Amino acid sequence: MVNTLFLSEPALWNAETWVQILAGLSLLFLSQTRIYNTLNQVVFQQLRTSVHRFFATPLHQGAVGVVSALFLQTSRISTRITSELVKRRILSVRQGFLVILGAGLGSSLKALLFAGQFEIIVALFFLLSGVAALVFTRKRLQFLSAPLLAAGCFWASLTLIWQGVAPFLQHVLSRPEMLDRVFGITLPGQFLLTLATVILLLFLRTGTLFVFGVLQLAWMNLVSLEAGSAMILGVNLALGLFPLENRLKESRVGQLVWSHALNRLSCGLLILFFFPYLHRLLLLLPTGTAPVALAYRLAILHILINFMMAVSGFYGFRLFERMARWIHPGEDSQHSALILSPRVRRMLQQAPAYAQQEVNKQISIALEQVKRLTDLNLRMLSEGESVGAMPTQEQYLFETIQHSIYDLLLPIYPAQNQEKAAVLKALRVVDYSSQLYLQAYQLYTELNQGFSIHQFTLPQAIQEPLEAFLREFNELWLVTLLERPGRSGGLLENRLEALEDSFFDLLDRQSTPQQVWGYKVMGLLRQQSIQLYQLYCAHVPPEASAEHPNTLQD
Amino acid sequence: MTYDFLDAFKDELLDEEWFSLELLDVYAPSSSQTIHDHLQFQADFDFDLLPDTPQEESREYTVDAYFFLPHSMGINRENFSRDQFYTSLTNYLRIRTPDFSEYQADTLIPSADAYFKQHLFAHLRQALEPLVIQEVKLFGCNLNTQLKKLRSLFFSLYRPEQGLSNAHMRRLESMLIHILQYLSDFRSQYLGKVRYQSYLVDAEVRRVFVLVDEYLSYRLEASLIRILQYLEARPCHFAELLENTLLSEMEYREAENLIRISDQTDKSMRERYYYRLGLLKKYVSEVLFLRVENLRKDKLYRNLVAAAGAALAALWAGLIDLQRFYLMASSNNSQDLSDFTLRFFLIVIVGVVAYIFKDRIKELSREFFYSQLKHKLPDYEFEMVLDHYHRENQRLEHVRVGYVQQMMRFLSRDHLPAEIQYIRDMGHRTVLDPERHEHILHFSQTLQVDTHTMARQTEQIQRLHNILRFNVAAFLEKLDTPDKTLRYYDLQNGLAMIKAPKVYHVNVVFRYSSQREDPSEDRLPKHYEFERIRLILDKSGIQRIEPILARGELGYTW
Repeated sequence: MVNTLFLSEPALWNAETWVQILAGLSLLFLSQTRIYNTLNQVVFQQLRTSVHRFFATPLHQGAVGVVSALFLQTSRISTRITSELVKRRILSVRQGFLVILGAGLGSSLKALLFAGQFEIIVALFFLLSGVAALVFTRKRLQFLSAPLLAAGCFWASLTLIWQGVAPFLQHVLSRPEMLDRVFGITLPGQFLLTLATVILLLFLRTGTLFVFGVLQLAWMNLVSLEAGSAMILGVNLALGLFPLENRLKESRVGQLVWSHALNRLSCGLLILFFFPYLHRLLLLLPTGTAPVALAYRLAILHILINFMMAVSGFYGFRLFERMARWIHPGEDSQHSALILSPRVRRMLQQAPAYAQQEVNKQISIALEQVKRLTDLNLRMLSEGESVGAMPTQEQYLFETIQHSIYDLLLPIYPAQNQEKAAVLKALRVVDYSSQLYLQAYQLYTELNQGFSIHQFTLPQAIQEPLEAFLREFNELWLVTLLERPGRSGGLLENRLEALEDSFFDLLDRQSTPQQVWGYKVMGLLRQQSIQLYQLYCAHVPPEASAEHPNTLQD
Repeated sequence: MTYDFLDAFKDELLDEEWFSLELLDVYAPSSSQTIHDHLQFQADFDFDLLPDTPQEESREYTVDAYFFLPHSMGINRENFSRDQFYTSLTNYLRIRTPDFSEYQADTLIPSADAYFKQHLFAHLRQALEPLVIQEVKLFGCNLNTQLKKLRSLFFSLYRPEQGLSNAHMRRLESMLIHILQYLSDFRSQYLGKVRYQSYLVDAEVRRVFVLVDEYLSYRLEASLIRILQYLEARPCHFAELLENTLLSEMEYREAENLIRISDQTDKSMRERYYYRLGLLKKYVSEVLFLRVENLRKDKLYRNLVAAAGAALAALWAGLIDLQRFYLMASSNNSQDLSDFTLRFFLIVIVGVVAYIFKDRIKELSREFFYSQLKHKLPDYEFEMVLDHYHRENQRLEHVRVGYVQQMMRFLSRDHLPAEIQYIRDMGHRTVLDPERHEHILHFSQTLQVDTHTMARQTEQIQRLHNILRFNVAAFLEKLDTPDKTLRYYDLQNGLAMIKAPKVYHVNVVFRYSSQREDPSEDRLPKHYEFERIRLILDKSGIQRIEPILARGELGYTW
């Protein structure tokens, strides 16, 4: 395959070549994005609490990094997902750091496949696995098909790009060891070549493709061990700088990313300083005849560098973290109050009263969270303008509580037990809270867009009924939080109807965008009112609220 | 016989099997926290010494105490050193007094009986001397324990409003009568011989009998008076029995010329009384205490760490030298002057930077490794040895009970075990709750008990009692005055002022874990239990201890 790539000069300007390069690059970035999006959704929506449980020990954290990078094809995706997990406080900075170290190490193992030119086989393997996951496996594993297919495309894209790029490289590096002549084989020369690689990669934004390219060049005998190793080191330095390209608002993420960058930078510079010894070490490795030997040596160097970075990161985390804090200062905030460690879970599973207490506490936290969002909406409605920055969507909170209920209460109360009602009640409350939260978030978005983007206003005539409705809505919230039974939903419905009547009285025949927006807001307010009343009925003792049947109907 | 009134109870109460009265459990907590004095807080823990299965070789017990010290107390890792902590800590290790059930009904102290049987043959009786001393002291400890149990039982049954019910009174009377019967038997069977045939009793044996008797007399008086104080206002049959006992005991003391306190007693005598009581207590209970042999190894660890740091620095220096040679060798081939200058400067810079690094590597690596190891290595390590005279082997044996490791360190909240953090925050853990500003002091004590050896050598010793007494004086130095002036507005009098106490809360979470070592089982789980208390302190000392979470309410097996 490689020998056919030595093309004549006219072939460089062939449209087919460019199509190959551009199609390959598109496929590469698309597949990376697809893998990222799918797994992001899986990690944050479906397996959130499981992910947290799995990161129990440093060894697990490292192993997750290695496996994820092998599966995700590039450590960059693992790093991004880990940063998100750290940002959302699912992982601590240290846990995230260890995952990233593992991801770097796992990603480097791919170099062996590149050195052996197995990319087509791997692409086929992933594509077939993706198809099999889609067609044959159970529904619960079907979510894997998309990232598997994307991984197959990723590997195929490398070959495609290489077929397009190879003529250029062959033309530029027409003479063997051209890079050596440009940069020299001395240490300063290697330093410059490493720097050039880092700069190039910051534009290229992918390390995998570059490593693949270097190893292919080694197969073509166009690079020496010195030049190749300088470029491999450059890739590893650039990998630490990639995450810095995004604006780091969150101090935790900033500290994580900077710790990672500092580790790679310090370790990389140290390796650069002792390059001659590494070369000698690599020459001692029995890896066959040239050019196979060179490709394998460079692949092993890549793994070795990542291994050294993992070791230095593992032991020097505190130091790097301290330096990162200096660069990116920020307060340490507490872990999520909801996610319980495996030991705490086990402890509570053996103490039913405490488990119930914990679930109740988590539910009250969830209610507080919903209340905060609805309060924001009420304030916007009351003031008639957008307030504050957009809050982060925290739907995961309810899933976490659901997991806690399954973990803590279900094992304690078996199916026949009368106490099972407690479990069902808790699940109902979480469910209604979650729905109310979603609707409140929708209303928030609608109001925010209406007030701040479209500059809509609420008619003066509905102010009075609106205030009455808001007051009653708040009253219902209050009795829900205080668990006071006996509140009827009829009053809220009356206030809502009065509000709707006054809104409908103001409508023109021609529907303007502001009217459509008003409709939407009214609809959302009705849905929210129903949800809040359902939540109230589920949360306060049923025997007390049974006397007051639900009068609010959609 | 000293207690003549016992004859009246013999048929009625002494027939009851007093071990079936479930009295022993009343005084058998496996851990407790008490205020020893206004500056010392005491935590007691019990550990089983006997194996659960014949294959069990050893058992590991760990007690972790996490002190949550408010920032306002001003105690942190910078100003409260390890040495200060251990100076404030007093640690006693002793075995729990063996049960009375060990003794046969017909013979009170078997070795003493054998001793007096052979008292005419000096060589035979002298061989028994250490065993007699040991068993008489154990008897004294035992009877003292029974008196404590009686007191505890009384306080658990007594209700200030109703006093004691008839059934409860009967239980207490039965227990007291049994105790008095043992004391009476002890005096009638042995004390007469010891006092009046002293030329046939060895000096040490005579001493042990006389001193144990004196000790028991004081303990009996103190225990009964404590109970009687509560019953003064409610005369009952049990109170009458207590008074008769005390009266007989005072007569006995007068007859034997022992110290008696009265309103005529002068200060020096009262002082002597307390001093002697302390001496007697130490003398009698020394048989229960374990000898500890310090195996302190931290010097060794520190040297090893320093050596590792030096080795790293040397490795770095060696590599740098090689690198310099490499650079210099490369420069010889170059004819270009500018290249030579560049290389020269590079070599100089490399040399300077390398030296700085070499120096720092040595120091920093030493500090780093030591700080890392410090979390894993114990501060103190000592062996527990029980000097025990073996009845069958008839020789003094130094039984190795196991070894103890102690470690103290300050922790940040991030490094706190999740379950400890959970228990600390229990009750006020919400997303809106502010973080508690506390320094966390962690003290850990691990006991590795050789249960196999203990079962083989001393079957009557079943439990180890660990006493940790901690002096809080260092915590009090920076505290505010205990009485703060509080101004308020009174409806009647207008502006008013009152003194309000200013206290500090120190939360202490205990984690108890135990694990068996049994080669016949594949995986041996570790059992964890938790307990939380709150120490209320002010400038003058410890005010009270509030139990927050009782031991055993929360726990798990891992």
